Amino acid sequence: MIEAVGITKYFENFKALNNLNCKIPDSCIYGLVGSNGAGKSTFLRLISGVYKPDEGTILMDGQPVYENPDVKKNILYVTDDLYFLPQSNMKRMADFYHAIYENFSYEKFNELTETFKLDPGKNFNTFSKGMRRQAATILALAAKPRYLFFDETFDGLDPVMRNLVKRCIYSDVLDRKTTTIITSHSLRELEDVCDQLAMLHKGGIVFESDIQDLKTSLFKVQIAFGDPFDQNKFPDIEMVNYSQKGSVANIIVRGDRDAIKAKLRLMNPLVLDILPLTLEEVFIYEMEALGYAFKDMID
Amino acid sequence: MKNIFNVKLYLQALKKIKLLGIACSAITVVISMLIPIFDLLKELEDKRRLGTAQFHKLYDQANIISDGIFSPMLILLIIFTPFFFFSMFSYLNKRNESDFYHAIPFKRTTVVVSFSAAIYTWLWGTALVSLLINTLLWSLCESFSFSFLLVPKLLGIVCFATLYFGAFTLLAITLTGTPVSSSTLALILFCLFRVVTFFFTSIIDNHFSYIDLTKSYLSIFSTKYWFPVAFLRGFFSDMSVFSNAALWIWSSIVVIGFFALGIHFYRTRKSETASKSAPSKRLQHLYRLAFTLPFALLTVFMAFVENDFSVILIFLVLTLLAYYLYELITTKSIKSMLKCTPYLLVLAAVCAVFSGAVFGSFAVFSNESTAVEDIKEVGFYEKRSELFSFEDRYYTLSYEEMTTNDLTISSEEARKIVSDAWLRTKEDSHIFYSELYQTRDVLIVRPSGRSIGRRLLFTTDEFNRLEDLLLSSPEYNNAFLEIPSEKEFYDGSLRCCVNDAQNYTDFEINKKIWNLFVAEYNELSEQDKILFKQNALPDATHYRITGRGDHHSTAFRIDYTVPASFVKTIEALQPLYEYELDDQYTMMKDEFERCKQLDFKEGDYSISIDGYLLCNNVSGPVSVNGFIEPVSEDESTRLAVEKIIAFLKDHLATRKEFQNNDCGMITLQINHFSSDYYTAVNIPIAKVPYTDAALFKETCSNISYEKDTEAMIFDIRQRMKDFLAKGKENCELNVHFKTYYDNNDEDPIWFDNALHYDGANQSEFETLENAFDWLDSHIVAAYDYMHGDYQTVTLVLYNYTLEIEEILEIPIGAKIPREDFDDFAKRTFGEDYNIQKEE
Amino acid sequence: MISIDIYSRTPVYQQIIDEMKKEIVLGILPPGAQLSSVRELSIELDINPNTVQKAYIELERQGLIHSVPGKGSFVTEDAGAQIRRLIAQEESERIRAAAGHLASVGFSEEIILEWIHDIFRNSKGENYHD
Repeated sequence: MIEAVGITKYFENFKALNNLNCKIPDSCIYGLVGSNGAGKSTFLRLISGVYKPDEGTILMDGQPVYENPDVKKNILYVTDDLYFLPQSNMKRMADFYHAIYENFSYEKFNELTETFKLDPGKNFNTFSKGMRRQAATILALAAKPRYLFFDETFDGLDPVMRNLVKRCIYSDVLDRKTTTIITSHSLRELEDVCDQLAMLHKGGIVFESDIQDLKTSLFKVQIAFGDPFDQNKFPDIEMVNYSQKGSVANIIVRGDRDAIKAKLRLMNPLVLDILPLTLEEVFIYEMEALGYAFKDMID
Repeated sequence: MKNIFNVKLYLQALKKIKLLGIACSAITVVISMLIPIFDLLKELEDKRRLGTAQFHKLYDQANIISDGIFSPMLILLIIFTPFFFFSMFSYLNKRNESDFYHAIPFKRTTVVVSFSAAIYTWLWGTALVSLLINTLLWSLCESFSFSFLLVPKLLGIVCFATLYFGAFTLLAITLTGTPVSSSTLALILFCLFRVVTFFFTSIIDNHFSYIDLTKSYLSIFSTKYWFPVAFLRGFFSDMSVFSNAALWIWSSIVVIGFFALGIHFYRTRKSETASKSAPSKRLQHLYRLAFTLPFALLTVFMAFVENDFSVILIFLVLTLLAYYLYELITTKSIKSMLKCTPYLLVLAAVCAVFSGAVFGSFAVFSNESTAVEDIKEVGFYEKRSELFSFEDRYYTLSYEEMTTNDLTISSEEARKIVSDAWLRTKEDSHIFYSELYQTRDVLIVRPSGRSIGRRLLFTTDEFNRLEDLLLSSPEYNNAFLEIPSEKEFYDGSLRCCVNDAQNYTDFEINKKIWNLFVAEYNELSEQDKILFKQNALPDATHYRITGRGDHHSTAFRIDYTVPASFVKTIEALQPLYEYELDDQYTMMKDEFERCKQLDFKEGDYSISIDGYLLCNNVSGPVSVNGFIEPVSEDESTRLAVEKIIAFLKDHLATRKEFQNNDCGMITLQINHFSSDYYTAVNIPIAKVPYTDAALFKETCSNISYEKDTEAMIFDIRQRMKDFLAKGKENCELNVHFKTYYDNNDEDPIWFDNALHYDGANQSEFETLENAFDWLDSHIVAAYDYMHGDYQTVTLVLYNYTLEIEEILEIPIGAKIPREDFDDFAKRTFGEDYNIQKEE
Repeated sequence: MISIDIYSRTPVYQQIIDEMKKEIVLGILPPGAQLSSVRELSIELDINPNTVQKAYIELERQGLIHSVPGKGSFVTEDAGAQIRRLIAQEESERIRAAAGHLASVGFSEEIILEWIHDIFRNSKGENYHD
């Protein structure tokens, strides 16, 4: 389990993270969303022990991360700005990782390179950007880490590769209870992989929820009446957003679908439709509910 | 140990810099190898050309190192050291790379130590391999011999040097985030302190030239403990520096300290420092200040030393340029460059503090007491140059200078002499240029125990008295009379020679001779010992023993002439020389024979002559030099060459004369292009009369002297002959000798004496004849006459009987030694001949 | 085999639960039958194992399955009965509500019963569940 309490991080005078609190349980696949500069990479670097927090503590299974090789050896962090040894190829990097990470398995490495159809002998200079991402992912997975961090790695992977990686992650979760953190700009990338979702904004985690719960927390009601009406017609319905055009109102409602449906039906509307929301829409409305204007948060 | 070093990481690090490592090894080993290979080839060539390897290079322990034959390896490794560090730790300059290496599961200390260990494995491995290969190659050289025990010593020094230069580089790298700023910071860390002390001492030196700052203040002003200087000096000049414990202690403190700091800053380094010129704005200001400081201090130095304001202005502009350029280049931002202007005040403040210190020192030194009461002890010492200088190579201290260095006495008289000299020096520095005074470095111990060094002006009497006082102190006396034991010499440096010809016999034999020498020295009385040490023993032979060594980490040399009374030593030396001198003599003769066979009628050639002739009627040597090249239409050159060769052939010294050094030596260098022949041969020439020597000298100079001079001299000679011839029978003669004698380095004198012949007294006539003979044989060479290099003896000749009066002005050679002239005067005019000294 | 739609408005874990319940009540998973392991199901459906885990935990909480560590998850004895009871409860509520509604707008008891008889008559031979 990853436990971050009261994390504050400064870069010179700029406060990148502000009193961030976060608990990530084992084997969780945790998705972290945020715009550029929100602090996603900073957060990941803090919990992988690259940075030292200015305030607060970070514990992995109860142990602090910073300058703690015993903890760090279980963490593999695939950055968005990839680094390989100069003039090297996958084999060389595997050799390096093998020396550095004691759990690195050549067997798994070979298996993965075959699956992904990459040539471990070819120089990285000849690899495309996507191939490099795949290579970095393979190396990380082959190290059999207990903590796996992907910093915008998925962004830009083609669907086939994405699926492969997904399955590898699932496999690791099952085998070793690997905890995975995936950051991204966009929710769509995370939707089918993660089980937890969090939003990083202005240096803190402003929203955290189980993805599945998110989907069911809100839904859209389209309702029309013959007589004029307004918002006040629905006093005992928890609404997150209300918009009305003429005699048709679109209401974003939180609560139990069936109960609310029944309630509304009793009002005898002309039209009553209960529509699902996409994950993004749910997200947007939840943010609004929390008081954040969504457009400054996500690209 | 687990927290400091990790084997797997270390191995990966070795691989990481593999390319650079291989390049370094290859370049260093190959280039260093060229030197022994060259020596080997030369030896083979010598063998082929001459039958034996003519030049026996027996390196003594000191020479090996200070001859610089290991210099390529050293220099290359030192150059490579920072490159290794920059390459290995280049990741610290890029954000994502830096994060990668901080993410790996090792403590930061482990990473930096393991990586550094990898660097040193490559460097030291290269050094070891290069050394081994070179010593192997040299062991194949017959004419090369050195002790292999030198290898670990050399290896240790080289490895330490790489550590030294690496420490600064590492620290600089951890404290910055770009290659440019790392390099400049490394340079700053390396030498800023020394730059500051250098400017300080230079200003003091300029103002008070007699003050030696290096003697006090714990030697912080002396660069002798500064590793780079000591290192260069040791490898190019004087190896004794490496025996100095203080050097190693100080340098180790520096190395350990800087590495410790480097590791500490690596541990606490923040990732955002990558690609920035300094971890924080404040440090950037500091670095910029440190970088500009040398320029600023240079300007301050100029201000103290120069009067010309425009020069100072130039340096001021230079300083500002350095200041702004640093900021611009390291931050690549014009905005920040402009914003750093206010911090110039800090620089100015630092310079003000520095200047304040300088003025303070001026005040202190101006007011320092020279009174006798404030002097407890005095002594002499040798001030060595601070920076590396070639002079040092040839100016190793003599053993006596070294043993008596810094020894002091407290006699009242000595202190008074020093006090007077000090006051004199202090008050009036103009007299440095006067010939009345000589300077000497004096060690003065204050009653408080503090020692200071001052270069004081002494009159000759004062100086001699001081030396005598020192000698009368038992401690000084004993030190002065000490003689080195055989162990103190560097292997192979003990040499015995005669007439400058060195021998190359066995070290063991030389050691035995040395021991005989020491035994016979110890039998001398104390008086004689002192005389010996002062090179004033009357019975010097031409055997000399020289050597170099190391006594308590100071290098010394000896050059003792063996006195004739050391019979056993001479007995041991003689056989060595017979052979050696024989050999030399034969070689010379052979070479000369070969020269004679060359064709100087046709062909393109040039001849150079250099040396001296001994004359049997003049006590000093006559120097000869000249250069002859054929002038196509002119026969005179060819004739000159023939004359020269003939002269040399006719006057070749005998083997015995050569052995006894009873001959002149002419070095003849012939470049005969058309037959592709080149030679340089030393030809021993037997003693000749002065006139012949003068003539030869003139021929070599190849100047067609004017016919008039020749005629004039002929004429003078003729007239002298006539006068004597006419006056021999029954004439009363009187000859007045007048001259203004100036032998160029003595007090000029007027000389006014007369000789009288009454017409009958045979001895009187003989005296006159002898006098004329002497004059005749000392007539100046035309060359010298042409150059005004003569003096005139005016003869006023009276023949009363025939009523002839004549005045002759006879030019005689200016360089005739004064004793000869005095001798002539005494013989001719008696003991109290008339001399008037110029007032 | 169960199928799920990850893009549906129903959470995936809920879909799994529903499908499992269906299989239990239809007898495809009789009492004591072993369910696919979390791993198998995760791979088969290509979904996050945590999600599968969540579903199984909920099924266990509802008493429909029990997990034996090291062996797997098994259908409980009365799972089918339990589910049937639940369905009965839910649907009877619904029938009551529907009948009430029809009645309130004027349909008689006879017509309502007629419709119910029709359903059974016409769907003979077809599946009851849809």
